[in-house]
Amino acid sequence: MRLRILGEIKLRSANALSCVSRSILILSLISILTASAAASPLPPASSAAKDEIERAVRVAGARDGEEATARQFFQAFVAVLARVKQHQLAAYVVGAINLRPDLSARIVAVAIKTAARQWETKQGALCGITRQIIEAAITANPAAVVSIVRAAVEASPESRQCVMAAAISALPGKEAEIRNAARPQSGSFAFMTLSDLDETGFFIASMSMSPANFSDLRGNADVNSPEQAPPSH
Amino acid sequence: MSFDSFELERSLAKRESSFSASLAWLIATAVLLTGCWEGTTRAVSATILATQGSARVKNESFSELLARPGLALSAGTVLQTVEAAQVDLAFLPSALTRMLGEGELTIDSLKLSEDGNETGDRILARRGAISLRAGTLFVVHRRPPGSAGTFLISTPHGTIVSNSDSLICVETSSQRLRVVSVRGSVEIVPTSGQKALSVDAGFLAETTPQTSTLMEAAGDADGQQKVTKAILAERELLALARRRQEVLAR
Repeated sequence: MRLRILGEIKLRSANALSCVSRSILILSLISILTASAAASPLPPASSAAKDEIERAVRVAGARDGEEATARQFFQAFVAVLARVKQHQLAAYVVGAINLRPDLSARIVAVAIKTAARQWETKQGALCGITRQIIEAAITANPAAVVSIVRAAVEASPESRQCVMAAAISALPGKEAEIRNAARPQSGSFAFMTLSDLDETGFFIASMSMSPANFSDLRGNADVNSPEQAPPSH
Repeated sequence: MSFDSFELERSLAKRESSFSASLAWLIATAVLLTGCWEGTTRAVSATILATQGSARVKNESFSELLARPGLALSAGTVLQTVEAAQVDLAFLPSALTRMLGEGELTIDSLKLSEDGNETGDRILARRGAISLRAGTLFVVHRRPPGSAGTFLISTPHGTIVSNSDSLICVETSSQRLRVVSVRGSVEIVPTSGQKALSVDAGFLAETTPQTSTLMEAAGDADGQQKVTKAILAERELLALARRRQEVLAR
């Protein structure tokens, strides 16, 4: 009788042990899969995003993405991004970089500007999406890391820390270059960079405005607030 | 206790309870009325921020004037622009627009509801309504945090309603109405009686007396250009308005 009970206990403990080890194995597999998914160089939707951008580029008048002028490419890319949800932005950045790696830095700048425009009131969310964009872009084109970081910081100076952290986490071996690229640039250099990026019309707003507008406004002493009562003419 | 004193006590108790009831009624009314308080509403005027090319304004007070920066336009004013003209306007701090090319726009009403009569009182709502008979209009509408905001644009083919943050391009002619939404969502109520259309960011809606269609802005060359132009217009309008402190702080 005692032997039978002992045997039963042994059997149960063996079962429990195998159950625990199976659970550990499954849990390990899940965590490995999750980690590899997170570190995946290409977001799964980037191929579809690339096709969508390519279609839009053809609508803009180019034969294909590779032959499109920068203006055609960005006109299409910006129009596509207007519809894109926050969590899809990184995939579209990767799709665009795969289509035109030569425009990587400007693609990142446009994406960050778009994110800032859409989520300007949510700084926390903006940092998160900026990090996703930077990490995805650098993974897609590591050779362009310096120009990507520089363009990202120019596009959103307030996101400098997020940009730097994301870039270093994507490419830790290039930390020194990344820190250097993220450094605030002098006024003249910033202007040159902005001018260079201006073909899309997205980085030079204040300078693209007619100076006549400002002189008109400065010279006008009759300031009228729209929150004032209607004037009696 | 005599009958008289009993009666007196009863009458006092009755009066006391009626006083309590009246007091409760007064408090309840006051509370309910406060809940219904919509503040004081007053009409305001729009301001021209900048102009390029030739544009004229006319209303009941003045027959016709050349549009110039700083000019205040009250309800009833008509703005007429010619080809190649550009007029930037602040209808409200929450509604900035750029009118491009040949067109005609009328200010129907611009109203502010405040939580009192003082200048510093909190703005409860900003409501604007304009009519665009023809032309192209870029509209930046920002619903002020913690208050209501509506901007209506009536056109011959339908009314565009913006109740929240939006950046849109409206183009209307005698043939059609096209609306491109770059940020936020707006609703188009067609005058033909067709079903209302909700235009989300990145979409383009076209309404004619016969049809209403909705498509991705990226799928149309003109739609793509309008997205780019709207983004540039927004940036320039905000910069102009900030210089005049006529934009809501974010």
